[in-house]
Amino acid sequence: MTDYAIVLTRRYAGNQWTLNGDDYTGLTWLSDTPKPTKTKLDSLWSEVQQEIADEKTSKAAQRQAILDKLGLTADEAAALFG
Amino acid sequence: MGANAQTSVPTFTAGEVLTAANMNISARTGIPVFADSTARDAAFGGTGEKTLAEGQFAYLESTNATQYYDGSTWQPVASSGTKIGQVVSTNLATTFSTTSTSYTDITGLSVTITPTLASSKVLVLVNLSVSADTNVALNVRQMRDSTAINVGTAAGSRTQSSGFLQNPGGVFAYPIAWNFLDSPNTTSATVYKVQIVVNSSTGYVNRTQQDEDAATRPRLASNITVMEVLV
Repeated sequence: MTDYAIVLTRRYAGNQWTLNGDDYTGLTWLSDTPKPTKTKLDSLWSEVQQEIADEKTSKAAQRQAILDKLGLTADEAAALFG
Repeated sequence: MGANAQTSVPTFTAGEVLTAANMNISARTGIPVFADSTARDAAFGGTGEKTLAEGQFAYLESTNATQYYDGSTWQPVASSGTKIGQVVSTNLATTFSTTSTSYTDITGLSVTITPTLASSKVLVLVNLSVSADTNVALNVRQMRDSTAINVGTAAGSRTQSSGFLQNPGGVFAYPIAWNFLDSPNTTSATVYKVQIVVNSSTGYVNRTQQDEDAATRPRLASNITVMEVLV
């Protein structure tokens, strides 16, 4: 199911809207720009999901690189920083 | 002694001639029923109407309330002290999200109450579960009709708010709660509702910012309850 709030946040930044519930029918467009269609938002969902997954992978890689630089394992870092 | 105070509770006997005075005693001692307080106030003191005086009872259909007149104002029955009257509550179990940078209503988080007396206070209880994108400033405020209540005093460009969240990052949903004793000074239907605003990006109600379909992600509920406090 498309997370319309996430798609709108990432692909329609700067626009104002409210979303009552999870469905497209609850979307009220407050900006003067054209309201995106359900079809359009649904079509963007898979690439937004991939983008989020890529960001998580990238963050995990950055985290591991820092641990490697410090010579610590993830468990040792957790014990150190709580 | 008030104009309507009785000095006896008469018993009539068979064959007795009932006078107007007899009828006035017997026919006017029941509790009259009125549509609302406006109809009640119009029913006394006119030509051929009873004089409103201490001890008069009335029942209002609009609020299902029985009242008595104490000589200067109408009082709720059995209020020798403060007591709770009507209780109205709404629970919002679905999500709401917005990017609005001006206060906007949280759909479904409002209640309407009609105070029985103008002197009544209204205790407002609110529980919210909110989230926002990282570093977004999210404010919520309590409204009575179109008036903001339970917000801080204006101070420059600062946002007048009943509750605030600035998510430092990560997957969080935060509780925001308040209670506020309001004095609406009305017997008209009054709407209490909650509004939300963000300074950028997106604010969420009843869900987290990251809302993957997983057991580690919650769906939450928010609610508003108002209680009429008869004083």
